[in-house]
Amino acid sequence: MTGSQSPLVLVVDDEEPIRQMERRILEKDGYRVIEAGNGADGVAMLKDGKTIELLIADLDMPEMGGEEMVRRIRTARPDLKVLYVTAHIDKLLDVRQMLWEGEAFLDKPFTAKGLLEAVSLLLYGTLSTGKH
Amino acid sequence: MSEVTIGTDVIHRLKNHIAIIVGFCDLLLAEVPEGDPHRADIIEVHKAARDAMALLPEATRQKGELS
Repeated sequence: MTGSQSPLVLVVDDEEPIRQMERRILEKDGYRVIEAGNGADGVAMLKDGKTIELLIADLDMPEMGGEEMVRRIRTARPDLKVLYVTAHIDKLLDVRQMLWEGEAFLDKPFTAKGLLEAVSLLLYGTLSTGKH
Repeated sequence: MSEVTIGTDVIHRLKNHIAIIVGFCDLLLAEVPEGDPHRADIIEVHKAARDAMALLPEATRQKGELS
């Protein structure tokens, strides 16, 4: 983690209402959140030096989906935690037989509690939620 | 049982819409205080969305069985 600052989360989803919802849920729980509306912007934000600790990536986006986005930045950011948010987990498993360490997926639709628990599990290894 | 033929793309879009409804209802229920007259309405919307969410695995399964 980066000192006393709360973790910075990058949300990448082509659906603006989904990004807004995830941002509000996460900010309410104490996380800092930035957004990108497509995979290319997500890669650029991950490469520009920000200390992003968790990427929440939609799998199904036009042009560049979440899995490809992660492949492009994995070498530069092997430590990055990734939560794939998807309505099609089978698509991810088609291209990748298993998730890497520090990766998880969350099936859409999900509840606010489900999102916070998935994020907490990835970042802290526990289900507890609350201000960070 | 009558046949249900929902395309994969429609199911995907439905899941996105339901995710938005459930997520914003969760947020509203955390922010609207007990006793607020709008709270019961939000709970109804939330319940309907959760019920729709519970139906999705069944619709997905039936699509798989039919395809």
